[in-house]
Amino acid sequence: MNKGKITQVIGSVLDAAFEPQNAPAIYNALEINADLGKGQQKLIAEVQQHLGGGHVRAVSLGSALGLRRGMEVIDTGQPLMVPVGKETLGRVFNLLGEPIDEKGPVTTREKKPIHRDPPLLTELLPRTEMFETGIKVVDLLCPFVLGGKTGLFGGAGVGKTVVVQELIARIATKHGGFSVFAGVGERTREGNDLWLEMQRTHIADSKDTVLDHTCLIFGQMNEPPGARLRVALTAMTMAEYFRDSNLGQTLLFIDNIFRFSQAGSEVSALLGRIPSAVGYQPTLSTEMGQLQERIASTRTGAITSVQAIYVPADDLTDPAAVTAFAHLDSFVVLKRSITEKGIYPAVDPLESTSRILDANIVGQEHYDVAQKVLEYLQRYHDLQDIIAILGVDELSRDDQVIVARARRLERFFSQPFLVTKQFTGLEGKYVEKNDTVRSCKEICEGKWDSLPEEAFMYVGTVEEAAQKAQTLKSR
Amino acid sequence: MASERQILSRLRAITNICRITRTMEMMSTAKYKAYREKLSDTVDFYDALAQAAYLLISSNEPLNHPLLNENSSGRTALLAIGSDRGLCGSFNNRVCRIVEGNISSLKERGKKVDVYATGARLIHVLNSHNMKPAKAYTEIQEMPTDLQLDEISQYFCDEYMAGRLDFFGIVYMRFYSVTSQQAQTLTVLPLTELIDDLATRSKVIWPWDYTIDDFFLSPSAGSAIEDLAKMIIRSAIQNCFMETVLSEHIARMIAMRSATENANDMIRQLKGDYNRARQTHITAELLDIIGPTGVVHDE
Repeated sequence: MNKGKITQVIGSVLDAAFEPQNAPAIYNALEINADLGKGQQKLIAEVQQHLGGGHVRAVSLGSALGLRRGMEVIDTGQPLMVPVGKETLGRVFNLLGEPIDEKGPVTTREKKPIHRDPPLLTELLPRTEMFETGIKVVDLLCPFVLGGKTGLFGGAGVGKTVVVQELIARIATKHGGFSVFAGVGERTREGNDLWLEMQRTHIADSKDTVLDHTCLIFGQMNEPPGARLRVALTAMTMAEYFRDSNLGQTLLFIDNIFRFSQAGSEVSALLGRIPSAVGYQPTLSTEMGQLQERIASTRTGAITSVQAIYVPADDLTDPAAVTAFAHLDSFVVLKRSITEKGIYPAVDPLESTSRILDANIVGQEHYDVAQKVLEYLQRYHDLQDIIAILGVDELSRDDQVIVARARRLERFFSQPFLVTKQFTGLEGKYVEKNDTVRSCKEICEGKWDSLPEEAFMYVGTVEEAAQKAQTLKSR
Repeated sequence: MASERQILSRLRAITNICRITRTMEMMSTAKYKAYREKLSDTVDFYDALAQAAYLLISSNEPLNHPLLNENSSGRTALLAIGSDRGLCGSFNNRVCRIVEGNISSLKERGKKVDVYATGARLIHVLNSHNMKPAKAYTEIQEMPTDLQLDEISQYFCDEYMAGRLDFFGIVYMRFYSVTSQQAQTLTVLPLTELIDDLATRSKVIWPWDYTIDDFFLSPSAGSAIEDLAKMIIRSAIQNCFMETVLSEHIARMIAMRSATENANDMIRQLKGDYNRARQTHITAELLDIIGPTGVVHDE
């Protein structure tokens, strides 16, 4: 067995000395069995750099509390291996592939390394089919791609996690395949809520709960940076198994991919790398690329992924957000200015878009309506300064009509969610794409100009808005 | 976050708007004062006319003049007075709303309505509400000249006397005080209604110490009535114009004052945003230099 000794510990980064000819390979997992204050424990670290002369630098994947120089380090001779297979369904794991739901050990036939090359270009299957979510603003302006990647961008507290959970509730309950959820550096409580919720919810027309078809992997904000850096890869490895073994459609939810970049930047300086723009690690886009390229649909199966991406200081030009942008098919941008109006989901219609918002894919009518809606909203946006200063009376008649319709559309894009029923008291609404397109078309054409603006808040189709206007009137 | 340059260009645009609105506010204030004086000069004459007319029609001698009598031609006319320029809040929309109300109530009684309008802005608003004026007096600038005034009042009197018109009203912005102006309709023809209306609003007419018997009339009431009637109609039209112009300037003053305030608020906000964006940028650049330097020096 290849053994070495710890020579230096800085935060969660440690150096270890091995025999010069036996230095462990990059990404190999190192094991440290020692009493770190809570009895005999196993700590895993991952080799990141060779320093020469048998010295390696590694990132600890658990708490480094209690590590000392001189402790013995064992090279496992392989990267971190996690269990994959149908047995993982219904269970909750940490990044090491250990179950943390206290339901006993998980034994699978196979274990796979968390590091793996992305599928080759020839294996990829480009998909252009739309994936209906029943959320009006998403289906109209930034339709999801079946087997594609979607990013949910948003600053702190604009509702990213709620949208992710809503998508799980909407998609996973109707969906025949498997889901993998990766909790990366977010609140621990949310993970617990999600787990309980999944046990309660049943998949449509079956006795199985959502949890029976899902595996959850958590490395939340209480974990050290090494764990948050690798937990997404663990989830990815488990999802890849479902894809490659052709067991059906796979859904991958990641909340929140920014924490992955953030964890990388936390260890980057400790690894001795010179920080790049805005203090991020110089390897930011490489790291993101390695992860994102693996989330791909191949000829054997598809992975449809939804990733929440935190946007620091609401600045979409932040390098962490920018590097994620390039990999996505559909962008849903959540805006603080829209939450301030009380409109949820706070999707910014002007910044959100999708690769498949194309007349050849979604159909000519959908495309035309989407463009018309954007035109109205853009005009409203342009006029906002003038309205703020001079008032709406000074606009030309045409502009007044556009503003009135744009304000109605803006409100129409709010929608009651399934998962927020206990807070809002409103039944969640699923609106089919055709109804969404038709409703927006009619609003643009002015068929519903007579309804008051508030009638459009939190309704499904436009007919429901008309009903709501009736009840508002009678009150 | 918008880039500094974007914020700057918005800031510049809003500063320019603010400059314009402030100037317009000052201009309207000056004009308001001038018209206010003119109005108080004319109001005495207008009241005196109303008094005379009231005396005449309440005299014992029965008066019979086509301007006083009702007729049933079924055609009515509305003269809507608005402003040539915008930037005066909901001024023209308020006039337009009254016109709309009048048209629907007249149409309910089975009358045909012709709208006559002044003020480019009002005409535009009327057009967009599908109430295209039968005639637009576009050559009038704020107040009509004497000639224009003669022409307007003569036209409506002739139409009425010829029996082609059975109602003529003016929709205008009545000036009560600096804080209160209201869009309303003044019935000009049949003249009895106008005189009734004037009698109730005039400051000095009632209670009045004199009756018709205190006067010796020459020429007789019957022959004086036509000239007096035309004079009253002409003055009524002129007065409506005057009050409307006055109200327009008040409306513009208020609209421009709040616009200037809004613009100033926005400028303050944008200046804050700009400074913050600028400082963030500087800090980020400093950090980008200091951070790596620290790492390099440590080694």
